[in-house]
Amino acid sequence: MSSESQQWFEVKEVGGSLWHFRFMLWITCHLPLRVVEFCTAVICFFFWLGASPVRKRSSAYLKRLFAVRGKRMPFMATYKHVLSFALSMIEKLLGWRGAIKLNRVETQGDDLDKLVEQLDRGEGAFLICSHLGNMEMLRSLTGYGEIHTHRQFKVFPVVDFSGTSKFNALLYELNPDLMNSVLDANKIGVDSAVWMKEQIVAGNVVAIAGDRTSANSQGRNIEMDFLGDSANFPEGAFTLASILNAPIYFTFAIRKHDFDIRTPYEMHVVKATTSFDCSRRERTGKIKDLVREYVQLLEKLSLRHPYQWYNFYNFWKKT
Amino acid sequence: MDELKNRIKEMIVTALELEDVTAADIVEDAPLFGESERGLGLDSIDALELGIAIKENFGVSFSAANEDTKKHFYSFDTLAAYISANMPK
Repeated sequence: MSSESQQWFEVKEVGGSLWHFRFMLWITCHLPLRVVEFCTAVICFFFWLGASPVRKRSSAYLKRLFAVRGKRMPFMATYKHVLSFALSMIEKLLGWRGAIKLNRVETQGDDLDKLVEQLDRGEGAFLICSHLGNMEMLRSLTGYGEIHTHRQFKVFPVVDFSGTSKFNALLYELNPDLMNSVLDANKIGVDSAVWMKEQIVAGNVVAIAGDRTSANSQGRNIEMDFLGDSANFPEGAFTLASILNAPIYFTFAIRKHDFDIRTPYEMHVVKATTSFDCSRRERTGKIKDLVREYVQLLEKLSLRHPYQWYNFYNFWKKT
Repeated sequence: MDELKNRIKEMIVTALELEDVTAADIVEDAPLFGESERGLGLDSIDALELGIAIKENFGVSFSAANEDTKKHFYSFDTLAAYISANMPK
């Protein structure tokens, strides 16, 4: 299989050993952010030079995106994409360590208020997020400040762990409690479905990404036009939404300035208009409606922040 | 037990909105999943939904061990036995 057509789960985790990650962590925690950003830019440059499969997959996405904007892909755009991703990883480490606060968000006057009101009433929700921006920022909903809820609740992310085992081992060391609240997407079964339903009924939140097909779901995808071509979206995430039958919100937290991790985040929260109070026969169509709503929003926001979509694999079937 | 079995059958028909199958049609020892002449031919999504319906109707949950759950979901008989053994008294 050529590297261009590789799916992300067939791509090996880059970076040799846990030791590398530890070193990265030490640097991140002990040097001023400005220096960290500079080092990251230099390291990324050499990584980018050597990683031609990454460049190809990145440009498969960026070329489409800039074509929709009616422009050519800028010089070094794939480098910017890689750098933006590396910065988001650093931010993730800092966030898990508790070194940066996750409450530097700018609200957009959208459905965030509805979500907060709902959570304050003690009702849970199902969030569909994405690899655009930083999903960790969703945790900022769970506390702090005046824009957030007054009631304590928990967020349970459903994550596909395959492919990032070393990075995850590090995250676990940093914050075992947080890691224990993460559900493995590859182990969703009857027990976890029931458990998720109970958590939502109890007023908590379950979150899943809607823009990555999983390693064991090949063939269970929904096709949708994204950036001008038909792309695959995971049926599982949207079907789960239909089964849990809770209010659904699309959530995105996007760095305001692509290459500065000190800037606040734009928090976008949009309530889905599709709901699943329908018969099972109508459901398949409704799931497709839900995917359509989600993809339109994803496209709109990724056009604004092209470098923050962290999907380094070929999303489209045709290259 | 018979009364419980009937309740479970009704729940299956209602939860999965089965159309050409009534509670009386469910063959008790046939496999629930996959292609089988006498079975219901359910899939994994149906299983998740049945799981939620069982929790809501009978207060019974399933363990995280996937293999065990598969055994309980093998046929109507195994499912009914599991529910009756684990129902809160």
